[in-house]
Amino acid sequence: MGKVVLSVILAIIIIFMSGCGAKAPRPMNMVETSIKGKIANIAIAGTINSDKDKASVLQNTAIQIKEAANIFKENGYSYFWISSNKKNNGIPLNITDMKGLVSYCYPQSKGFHADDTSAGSSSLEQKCNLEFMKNHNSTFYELVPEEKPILDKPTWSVDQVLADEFIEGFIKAAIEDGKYEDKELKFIKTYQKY
Amino acid sequence: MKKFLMFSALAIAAMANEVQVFTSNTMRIELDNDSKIEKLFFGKTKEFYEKQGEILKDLQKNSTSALAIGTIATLQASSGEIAKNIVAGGSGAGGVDTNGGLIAIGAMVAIAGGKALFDYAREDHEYMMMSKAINSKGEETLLYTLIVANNSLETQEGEEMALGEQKKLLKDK
Repeated sequence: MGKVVLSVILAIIIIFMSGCGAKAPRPMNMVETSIKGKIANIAIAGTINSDKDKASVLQNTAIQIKEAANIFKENGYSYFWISSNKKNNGIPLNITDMKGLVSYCYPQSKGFHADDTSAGSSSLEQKCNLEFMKNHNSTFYELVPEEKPILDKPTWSVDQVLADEFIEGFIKAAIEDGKYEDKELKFIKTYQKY
Repeated sequence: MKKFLMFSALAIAAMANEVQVFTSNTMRIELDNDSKIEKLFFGKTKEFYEKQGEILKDLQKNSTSALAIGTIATLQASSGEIAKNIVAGGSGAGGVDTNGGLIAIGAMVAIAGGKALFDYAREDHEYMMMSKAINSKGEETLLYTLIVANNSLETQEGEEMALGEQKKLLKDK
């Protein structure tokens, strides 16, 4: 009897170790922080689905920014800015749209698909830390909403993000590259209320 | 709508170097040919992030625009509030579980504020020009121009390039 139990346990361990067991998909984490009923910021971490893991960093970023813009619009905000920490994304404060982000972070990127983001040798290449978003479960940036433009900080426009064909191009390519379904582009949302 | 498009990104060849220029207009106001542009800062981005707070404080002191004072004050107040509240939440969660960890890192983000980019920015060959612009209606905005170059630029060369980009935002009436 003991040998049977041991065999079953060993078999289970072998299945897990061999990678035959189905891995749970790990969508992006998104923490929405509200203060007195108003959204203070959205912090984002992770990649859209580490199981398939075919989305490029730029595809991930496009999906994240669009999702945040949708939430801001639902809550009546028209603008937002990107904050960062020491291990930050490296996006400068006056990069305020996806096209600018791509041309600053990956100036030699050739298109929307995962293979198009090349790692060349130019010193202008890969100035941002967006790579960390893949397979890491920590925050790489926060998006902070604003009702109006603010004088001292350039902002992204929510409406412009939602109508941005450049962002749509990355999302469409992510679906094609990773064979995702639209419904798989989801976030695990957590709410913090103060 | 196009005339309100605040962002321009273009790569131009200058002095045989590869150069990128990014310009933004914070208040998204329309600037006409009668608008005045006053340089507040030009230098390396590292220096810019160190001095940004000081420049904004001076701007607030000297500004006659109620809007300008209001918007800067709003930002400072809300950032402070976010930092304070998130720190409280993060310590409560203990920073052990995933969400607690996220929040704790979030607190660092909020506290770091404007200095964050300075920590990571490649200080060499990145230059920032910050200017105040006032249009003929008396509306104020700030213009930020970031220049990214493979090689270092002379101050005058960089300043002229940045100002040239900012002047491109001026439209005929």
